[in-house]
Amino acid sequence: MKKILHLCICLIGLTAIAGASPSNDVKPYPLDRCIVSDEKLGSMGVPVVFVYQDQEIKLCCKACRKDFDADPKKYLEKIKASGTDSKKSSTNEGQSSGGTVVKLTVDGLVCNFCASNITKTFSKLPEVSAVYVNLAAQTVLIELKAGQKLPEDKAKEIVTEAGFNLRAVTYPSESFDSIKETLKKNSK
Amino acid sequence: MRKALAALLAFACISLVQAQMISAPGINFLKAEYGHTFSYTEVGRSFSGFRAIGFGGYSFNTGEGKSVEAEVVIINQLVKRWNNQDSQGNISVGAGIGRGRAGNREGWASTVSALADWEDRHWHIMLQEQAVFVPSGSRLASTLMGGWAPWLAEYDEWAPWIYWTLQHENGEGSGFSHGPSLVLMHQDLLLELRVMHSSHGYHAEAGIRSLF
Repeated sequence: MKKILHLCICLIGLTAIAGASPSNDVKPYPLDRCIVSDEKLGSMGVPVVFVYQDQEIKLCCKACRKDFDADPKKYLEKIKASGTDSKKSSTNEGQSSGGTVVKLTVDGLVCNFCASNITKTFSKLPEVSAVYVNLAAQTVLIELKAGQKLPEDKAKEIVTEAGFNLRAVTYPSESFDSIKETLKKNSK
Repeated sequence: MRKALAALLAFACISLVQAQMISAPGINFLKAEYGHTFSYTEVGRSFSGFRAIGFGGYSFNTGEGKSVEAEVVIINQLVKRWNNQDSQGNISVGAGIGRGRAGNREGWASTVSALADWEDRHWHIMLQEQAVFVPSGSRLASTLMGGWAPWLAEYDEWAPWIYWTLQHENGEGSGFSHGPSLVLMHQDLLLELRVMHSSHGYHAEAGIRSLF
């Protein structure tokens, strides 16, 4: 009788574990940041993890779950775009961007003069046509002139010389203006 | 000479910071403050290695005793910067050499300064020491500022900050002063207006900083 009871408990436990884990069809969450707040996962405590329409979602806190539920489509699209960006980024490490938009995430970017420094620095480069800095997202968005490239190692060198630390480089497929608008909206 | 050494030692002991404008290489800066007893202007250009070179003019005038003035060539150096995801800390030092005067006596002048600050997007604290040595006189101004941003603004918007400043100057007729200030930042420009209270009463002061 005891053996049967143990077997039942094990079965219930395994079922629960299987139910809680994303199935093989679930797409893994591609980022190390919360898709709502852009906070580093774990920085606000244990991340909130769930599956939405076969996509694993990881948020930094419960408050972000409310925002996610309010407009899940928007965040799914962001995840999709970020996934594409990270893939592109990893294939472009140390090489030319091959694209016209470069997105830098920079540590130490906290005030207007920081933004001014980095804007002026990148604007001086002959291959750059536009620069937008978003302090809330610690992001420097760069639009390159047609046919121009900005390799990751060069971007890192420039950011370091300007007095900051480069945390990440991505080469998004969206246009400069659309990313700029999204960053502006998210910082409100 | 003894006084100058003592002031220099005191300055070194008060591990400070001076909000020196050290930017990315090839960027010019302007920093000026007009105060009731202490005013200064610094203009320069930043180079690689977090070094800036320029000119500075300093004036201490309390209306009592000798006024102290100096015009010097300055060099500022960022000693250490901490870049974090949401904050930044800096320690920088500066020195200058040129001509100066205390009352009617004119001669060589030198300056030393140090600045330390830490900021995130909501808070900023800064400690700055500025010392001027001229023939038969020296002045040391110590400034501690704490600021808070009531709301966060982006680079292309007006960003307001509310500061409280505590300042001490040595010399005849000088002493402590403190008061609130409003700082507005927009792109490359910072404007500051403050009301300080000292033994001389209330007085308005203004400051400007810019990168160009």
